[in-house]
Amino acid sequence: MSDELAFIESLRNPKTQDQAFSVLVEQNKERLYWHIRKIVLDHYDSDDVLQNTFLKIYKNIGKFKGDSRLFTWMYRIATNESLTFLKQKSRKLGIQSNEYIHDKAQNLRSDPYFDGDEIALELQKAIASLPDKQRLVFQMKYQESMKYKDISAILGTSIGALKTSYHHAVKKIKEKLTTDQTF
Amino acid sequence: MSTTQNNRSSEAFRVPDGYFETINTRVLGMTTAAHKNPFSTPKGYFATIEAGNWTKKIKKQPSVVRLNILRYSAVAAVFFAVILLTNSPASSQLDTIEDSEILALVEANWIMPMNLNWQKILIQAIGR
Repeated sequence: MSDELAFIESLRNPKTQDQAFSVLVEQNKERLYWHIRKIVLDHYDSDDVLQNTFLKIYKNIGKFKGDSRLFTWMYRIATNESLTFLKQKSRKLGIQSNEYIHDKAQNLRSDPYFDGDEIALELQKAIASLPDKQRLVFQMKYQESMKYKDISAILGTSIGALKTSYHHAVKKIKEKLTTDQTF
Repeated sequence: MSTTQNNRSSEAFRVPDGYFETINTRVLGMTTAAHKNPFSTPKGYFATIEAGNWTKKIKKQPSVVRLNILRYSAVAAVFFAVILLTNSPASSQLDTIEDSEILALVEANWIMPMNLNWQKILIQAIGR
């Protein structure tokens, strides 16, 4: 923890911030990218959101109070940026954000950066049919294997509520996959 | 079949190798392949992500305060320009002329208003 505090201090110090920020980007670019990618699905959209996320981290590191871990704070920014991005994109098209992500999932087969088989494709479609909160919880718990404690800090939701959301998400996905008779 | 023995018991209860790793995916009725990340990125994508790209971008961006000052200054400049134009002596003189006077001025100067700058000619004529 003291290492983290020292690192945060170096991010705030104008003399050391550029070097510290390089380290932060290097250490977190892949996991933040994959977290964003699971939410927005498209590679180029994820790249845009990742840029916005790092810009926000750089600009707001001075406002980081240290009452949560740096990792959870960055994940919270990445999650919010991803959801905002989806809302903006869908607003431009005059549809709801869950409709937008549903369409994206339907078109994954033609995405050059989607290598999944039929099972993976159906799973993505089923995940895309979930409401935002359940979708996020399912992705973080099931796909990113995160702990409820960390998800709770990122989403600002109690662990009990997260477990309920996850339970509902799993149930809906199971139903969807069974109804579609993919397996 | 390869198996794993229960360490806590001497009894021969065994599970297939890697059984516990597959539970999460099996609960959803899917194969382990479904748990694998199906997404990929262009080759060498992560190597292109460098902090320098963002720090340069941030430093180039003008601050929000500076942008707002510029925006308000532009609005104020347009506002004052409109006031100056509408209150110029030439335009106030123009407001006071009667239609018949305008016609008389046009006739007196033998000007075809269709071909020339109408307002300018009138102002010049009045000013004379």
